[in-house]
Amino acid sequence: MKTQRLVSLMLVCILVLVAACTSTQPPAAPAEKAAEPAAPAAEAQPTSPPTTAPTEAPTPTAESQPVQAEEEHQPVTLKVMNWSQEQADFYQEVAAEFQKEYPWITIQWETMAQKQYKEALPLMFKSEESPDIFFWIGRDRTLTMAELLDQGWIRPLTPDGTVPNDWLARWPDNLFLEGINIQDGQVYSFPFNDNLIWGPGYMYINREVFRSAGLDPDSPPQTWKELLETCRTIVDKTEAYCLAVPLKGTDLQRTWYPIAGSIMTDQFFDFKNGRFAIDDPKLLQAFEFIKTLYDEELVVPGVNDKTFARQSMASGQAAIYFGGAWMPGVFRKMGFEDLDLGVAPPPYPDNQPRGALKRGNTENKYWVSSQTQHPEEAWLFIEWLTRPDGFFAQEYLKRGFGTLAFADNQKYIQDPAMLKVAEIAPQLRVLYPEPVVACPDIAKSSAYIEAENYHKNWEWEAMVEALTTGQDFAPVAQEIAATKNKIFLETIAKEQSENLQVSISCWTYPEWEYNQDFNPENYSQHKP
Amino acid sequence: MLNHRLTRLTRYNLILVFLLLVIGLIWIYPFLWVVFAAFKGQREMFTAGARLWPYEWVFDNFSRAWIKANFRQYFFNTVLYSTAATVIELIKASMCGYVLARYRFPGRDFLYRLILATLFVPIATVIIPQFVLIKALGLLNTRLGVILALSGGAGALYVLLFTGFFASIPEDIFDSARIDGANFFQTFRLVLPLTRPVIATVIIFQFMHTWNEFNIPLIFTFSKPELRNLAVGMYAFQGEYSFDWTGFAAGTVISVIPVLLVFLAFQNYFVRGLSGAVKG
Amino acid sequence: MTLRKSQTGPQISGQKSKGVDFIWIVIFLTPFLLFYTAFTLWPLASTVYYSFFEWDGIKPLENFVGWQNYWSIIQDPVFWLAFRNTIIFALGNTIIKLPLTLLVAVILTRRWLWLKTFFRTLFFSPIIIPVAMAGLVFVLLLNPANGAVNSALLEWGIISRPIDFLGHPRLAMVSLILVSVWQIFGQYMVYWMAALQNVPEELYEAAEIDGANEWQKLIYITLPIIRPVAIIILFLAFVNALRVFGLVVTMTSGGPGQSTYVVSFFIYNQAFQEFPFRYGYASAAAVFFAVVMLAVISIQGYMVSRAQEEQKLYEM
Repeated sequence: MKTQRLVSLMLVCILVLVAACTSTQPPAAPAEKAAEPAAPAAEAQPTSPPTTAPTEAPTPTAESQPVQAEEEHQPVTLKVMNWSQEQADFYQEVAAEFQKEYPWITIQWETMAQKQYKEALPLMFKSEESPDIFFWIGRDRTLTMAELLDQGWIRPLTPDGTVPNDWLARWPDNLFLEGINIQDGQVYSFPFNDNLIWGPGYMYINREVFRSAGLDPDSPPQTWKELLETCRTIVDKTEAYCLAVPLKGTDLQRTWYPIAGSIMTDQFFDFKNGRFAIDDPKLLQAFEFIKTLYDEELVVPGVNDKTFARQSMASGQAAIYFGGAWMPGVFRKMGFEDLDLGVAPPPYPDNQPRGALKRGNTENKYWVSSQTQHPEEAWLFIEWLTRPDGFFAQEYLKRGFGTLAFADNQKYIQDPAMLKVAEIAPQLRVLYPEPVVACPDIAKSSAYIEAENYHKNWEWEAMVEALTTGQDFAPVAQEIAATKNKIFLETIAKEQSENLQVSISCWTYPEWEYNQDFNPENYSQHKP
Repeated sequence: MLNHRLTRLTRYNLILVFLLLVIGLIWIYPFLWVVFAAFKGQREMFTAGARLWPYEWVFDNFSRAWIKANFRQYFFNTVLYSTAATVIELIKASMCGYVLARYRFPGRDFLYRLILATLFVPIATVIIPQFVLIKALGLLNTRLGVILALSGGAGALYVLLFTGFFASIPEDIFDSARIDGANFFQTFRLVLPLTRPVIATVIIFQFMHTWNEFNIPLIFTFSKPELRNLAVGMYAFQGEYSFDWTGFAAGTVISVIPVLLVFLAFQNYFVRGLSGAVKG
Repeated sequence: MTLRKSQTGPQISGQKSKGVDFIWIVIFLTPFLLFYTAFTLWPLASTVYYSFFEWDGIKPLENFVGWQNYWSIIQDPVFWLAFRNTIIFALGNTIIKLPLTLLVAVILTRRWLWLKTFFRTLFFSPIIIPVAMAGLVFVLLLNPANGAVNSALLEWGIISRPIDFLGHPRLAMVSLILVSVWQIFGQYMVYWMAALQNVPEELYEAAEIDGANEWQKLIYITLPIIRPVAIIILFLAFVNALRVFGLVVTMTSGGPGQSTYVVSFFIYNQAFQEFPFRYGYASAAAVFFAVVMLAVISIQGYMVSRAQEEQKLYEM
C-alpha cells in the first residue's frame, strides 16, 4: 500500500519531467538551404597554379568560372575540429586568411585534447552537432573510411561526389584508392600528412652526450652491435645512460618500431606469411636485443612515460631516444631550444637481411560530416587547404607542425633537424601490401580487428612485463600469436560462410620482401 | 595541579606541533611542487628534480593559462556553475532531508533505503543517459543544462546529512514553533539556520565537486565552447604531440585558489556539520 | 542495508502527516525527487537496460542480445584481472587510509592543540589538486633516474640502488595505493573529525581523572562511541576506492603489464576509447561489478549488524 503511493508519487514526478521536456524543446531549425547559391564547387582558383595538367577529360567544373565576388552569398560558418591544440593559434590565422578569399565563409576551427575528442565526437554526431569537417583516425588506420561509412558519419568531399583531376594531381600516384579513401568512385578523404617522412622510427641523439663520451656524434651507430658498444662507452665514460625508452602503456612502440622494423616488420602482423607473428624468431630477436640493453643497465631505469623519456634525453641524462618525425618540434616545445640534436636512421641487425617500417595509406585524416549543411563551402575550404603552395601548406611546414602529402616538404621546411629527418625517411619505410585493395570486402570483415581486439595491447603489456620482471618472453609470445591466429582464422571462416569475399590469401603476400615496396600489380593475384 | 597540567599540555604541544610540521611539510611537498612549477620554464620543471625554488622565475605561464587556455572566460563560468549548483543542491537536499527527518509518510522508509543504497552503488557509466536526458530537455549548449546536470550528481549523500541533522534538533524548538502558530514552511525556515554546519559541509563538498567536474561541462557544450569551465580548459594544455606542463601547473594554481578559500571560510562549520549528520 | 539503525533512518520525533502537511511534504520532496530520478535512478536503470544490447552508444538501440554481454564478461580474463586488481587496491587503500586519517583527526581535534586550522588545511590540501597534475607530480617524484624520493633515500643511505616504484607489478600497486591515500586523505580526515564531535568532552575529562592515558582514551572511549559512524565511513571508503580511475590513468595506465588495470579503467576503455565503442558491454561490466560489490557489502553489513545485536543481547 505504502509502496503503491510512493510509486504514484514518483509517476507524478516523471510526468512533470516529461511535461518540462516537451515545453522546452527548441523549435526545429528552419531550412535555409534553399537560399544558398548553386554549387560553386571545385573552382580552380586563379591564385593556385595547377600543379599538373589534367590527365583526362576536362573536369566537370568549368575552370574558367572565376569566383564572383558580387554574387550573393549567405554568410556561412564552417566548423572544423581536430585534436592538435598546439596549433590553435595557427588555425586562427588560417581562418582569417581563408576569409580574405571567401569573405562569406567563417571558419570556426576548434581543437581539443585527443582523449576528450574521441569521447566527444561520437556524442556530437548523436546530437547532430557534428563539425562540418572533422579529424578522425580509425582503429585500423587504413580502414578509417570503412569505419566512418559504417557509422554513417561521412559524405563525399564534394557536393556531387566527383573531384577535379587537377586536384587529385596534387598528390603522388597511388594514394587515392578504392576502399581506402574512395568508395564507389566517390572521394571521401585525402592523405593529409605524408606517409613517408611523417611516422615513427627515427633515432635522435643528444650530440653533447656523445661528445662527452668521446664519441663522434656525426657517425652514430649503424648496427645493433655498434649501438651496444656505443651504449657501453657512454655509460662507462659519462654520468648519462645510453637510451631513454618509455614503457608506460603502449609507449614502448617508440623503440619497438625501429628495432623490429630494422630486422623484419614493425607490425605485429606478418603480411608475408599472413599471421600474427610476435612469436616469429626475428621479432623475438628484436625483443631480446632490447632486453640486452636493459639487462646491461644501459637504459634509463623505470617504467617511464614518453614525456619523461624525452626529457631525460633532451636534458642529457640519456644519449639516444627513438621517436617519430615530430620530435624536433616537440623538443622545442618542451623548452629545449638549445639542444644539440642529431638524427640518424635506426641501427639494423648485423649480417642479416634488413626489414622496414610500414608505409601505409594511413594519413586520410579529415572528413566531411554527413550532417553538414554546407557541403559546397566545406569543399571550397578543403580545396584551399590542400593547395601545394598555398598559405596553409607553407605555414604548416615552416612552423614545423609536420610534413604534408600534397606539398613539396623540403621546399618549405626550415628546421635543419626536420630536413635531416626528411632525408632519412626513404631508407626507413617501404610500401606494405594493403589487404583491402586486394579484397574490398575486408572493409566489412572484422577478422583482423577481432583478433587484435581480443586482448588489446597484449603484446605491449607482455613485453613490458618481461622487461621489468625478467621473465621469459618467448612462451608468452607463442601464446599471444596462437590465440590471435586462432581467432583470426575462425572469424575468416565464419565470414566466408556468411558470403563475405575474404580469405587468408587477402592477408598473405609471400612474393613481397620485408624491405621492398610492394608492387601494386600483385594485388590481382590475391583476389579471393 | 593546574600548573602541572598546563606544562604537560605545552610539552605535548611542542612535540606534536614539531612532528606535525615535519610530516606536514613532506605531505604538502608535492602540492608546493606544483605551485612552484607554475613559475618555472618547461625545461626546468622536468630537470629540477626535488628542488622547489625556481632558478629563474617565469611568469609567462600564467598569462598563457589566462589568455590562451581561455581561463578568463572559463573562470566566470566555473564560478557561476559551482555557485548555482551548490544553491540548488542546498535547497533540494535541505527540504528533502527535513521531511525525511520530521515526518512519517507512506514510502518514507523505502525512499530512505533507496537513497542509502544508491550511495553505495559503484557505477560510473551514466554520462550517456544523462546526455540523452539533457538533449531531450532541449538544454544542450545552455548554461541551464550544465547547471541542472551538475546539481543532479551527488545529492543522495547531502540528503542523508540533512536528515541526520534535522533529526538531532531538540523537540522543544519545534514545540515552541507550534505554540507560536508557525505553519509547516515557517517552522522549516525557523530551524534551517540551525543546520548551518550541514550547509557549510554541503557548500564545500558540492563546490569542490562542481568546480572540478569535467565530463558534464565538456559534453553538454559541444557547439558553444565559450560555456565550458576551468576543468575542461585545463585540457587546452594537451597538444597532439606534447603537453604544456608549466601552463597546466599555472592553471592548477589559478583554479585551486577559490576552492582553498571556500575551504578556509567554511572549514570550522564543516567539521561540525558532518557530526550532526552521522549521528543518525 | 548496512546498519539497522540507519536503515530505518533517524528516529522520528515529529508528528504523523496530516492533510495540509501532506501537500507540504509533496512540495518539499519534489525538487529532490526530480533530480534524483533524472540524474541517478534513470541513468542507473538505463545502464541496466543498455547492458542487454550490443550497442556503441550512438546508433539506435536495436541489437538486443539478452544475457550475452554478461556471459562474455564472465569469460573475459581481462575483466577478472581488473576485478582482482580493483579489490586489492580498494582493500589496501581502505586499510591504510582509515587508521591514518583517524589518527590525524584525533590529533587535530584536540582542543589544546596549537595551529589547528593551519594543520587541517595542510592535510586537506592534496585533494584539491587535479588528478592529472597529481599523477604527473608523482610520476616525476617517484621515477628511479632522478626522482626526488629516490634521491633522498639514496642520500640518507636507506637504499643503495634506486627503486623503480612504478616499474614492478607489485610495487606499482603499492605506490598507487599510497599516492591515492595521500590524495584522498583530506576527505576522510574530515569525516573522522566530524565523527569525533559526537564524543562528549566530559567523558574524556572523567577518564583523565581516572588516570587514563591518550591511548586508553582512544581505545576505550573514542572508538566505541564512534563505531556506528565508523562503519558508515568504512563502507563509503571501500566503495569509493572501488571507483579508482584518474590516478590509474595518469600514473600507470594500468601497467606495468596489466598489474594496475582496474575495473573502471576497463569500463572506460570499452565505452569510450576503443572504437567502435562497446557501450552495451561496458554497461554490463558496470552492472555486474556493482551487483557483486553490493552483494558483498550487504553481506558484510548484515554480519556487522548481527554482531552488534548479539553484543547488545550480552550487554542486556
